[in-house]
Amino acid sequence: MVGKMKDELLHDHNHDGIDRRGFLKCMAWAGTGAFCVIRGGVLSSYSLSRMREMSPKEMAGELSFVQISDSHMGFNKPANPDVAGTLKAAVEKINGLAAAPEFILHTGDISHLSKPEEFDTVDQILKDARPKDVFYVPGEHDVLNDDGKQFLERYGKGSKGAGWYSFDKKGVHFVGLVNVLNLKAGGLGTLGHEQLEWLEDDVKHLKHSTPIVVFAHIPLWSVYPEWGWGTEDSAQALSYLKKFGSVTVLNGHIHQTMQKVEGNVTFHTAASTAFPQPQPGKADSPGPMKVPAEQLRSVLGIEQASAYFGKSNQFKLTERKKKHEEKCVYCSSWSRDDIGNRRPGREREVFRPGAAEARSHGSEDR
Amino acid sequence: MKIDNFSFGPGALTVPVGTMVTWTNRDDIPHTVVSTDGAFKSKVLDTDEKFSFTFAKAGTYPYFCSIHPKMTAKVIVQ
Repeated sequence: MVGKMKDELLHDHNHDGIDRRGFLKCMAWAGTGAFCVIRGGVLSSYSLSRMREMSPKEMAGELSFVQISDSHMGFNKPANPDVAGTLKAAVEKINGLAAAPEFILHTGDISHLSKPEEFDTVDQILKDARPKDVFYVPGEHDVLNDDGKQFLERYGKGSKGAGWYSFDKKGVHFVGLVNVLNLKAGGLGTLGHEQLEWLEDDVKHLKHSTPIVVFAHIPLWSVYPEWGWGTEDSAQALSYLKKFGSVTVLNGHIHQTMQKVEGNVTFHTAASTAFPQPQPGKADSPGPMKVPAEQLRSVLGIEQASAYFGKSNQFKLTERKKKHEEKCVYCSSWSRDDIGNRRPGREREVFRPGAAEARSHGSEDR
Repeated sequence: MKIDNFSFGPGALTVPVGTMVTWTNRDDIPHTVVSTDGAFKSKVLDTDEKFSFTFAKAGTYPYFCSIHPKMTAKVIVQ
């Protein structure tokens, strides 16, 4: 822990205890993405920020890729005035992986306001990533004002309808779905009849043993309908996937990681590379988690914690450190394990089918 | 009319015929103002951007944000 935290304040150019790297590190979500590896047909997912803890053996499998989400390029409010910087941080983490993943999945909200220059910036940043193939699905922020025409022109080559498509990689069938168009008043995300028919047909010919990975922007499970975090007709889509032994659903939209298992389906949501959103129902609205002006410096002021971590008695809490963690909106959501190490509250965990199912449903349901 | 904290305020606004109503987005996130029955539709409104519509006929006009469809409200024109 000591060694890992040492590098939090490397370049204090303004002598104010703030540097970009420390800033990014304090925000546990910054530069986050998910490293996904498929082993024996089952997908495991790990936060990119925890890859240092993993052995090469854990990272090995038939196929690996990275999911990133919700870059919101163009967003410039206090919750994160440098969304390009945090996306670059994600790319740095991807490029730092021991083995290059096969490709990148971006689960939408590439841009904040669907402006061409926002898409251009993301394209430019992702060009620096070692995986050269990037597969996209749109978020609602990518289809503003034009019902997704621009998105289709940029990213929709070879896709069907409003941009849905499928492809196969090393025996795994990937399906990209669009659930951010034609939203109805009071409703949730929508796939629509045409897309559902296509999906039914797309998977009909596949063997039951084919691992399936479905990705879409808005969760295909009911995370929190009160905030619109779900998809009206997702049950219909999932009914076409019942025959398969291994189905994984990857979503974005809610700017935090979550996972759930229902029968043969494992659901994951990815964090945003731009800004965090509150846990379901834990705030008045799902708006960006803001940093009040008076707290901004303390959020950035990781120097207090890094100075502390540089010392040997790391498990003894000091008042100074406690104060930082209480004030820092990012650190305050972390918890401590029994020997005092800090752990982010909502980090991705290694998925083990039995264990996750027990957590989600309780053993009596199995 | 204010758009704040992922809601329209007030949720029901009563105005006389001929009134111009202006919506201002006070959120950090963009929203739209879209009539459920097609009477009016704003472009996407970023923070502090405004949209106005003049209600020439009496009636009830339900509307929503087409990006966050859980956000609904109505204007009653008398």
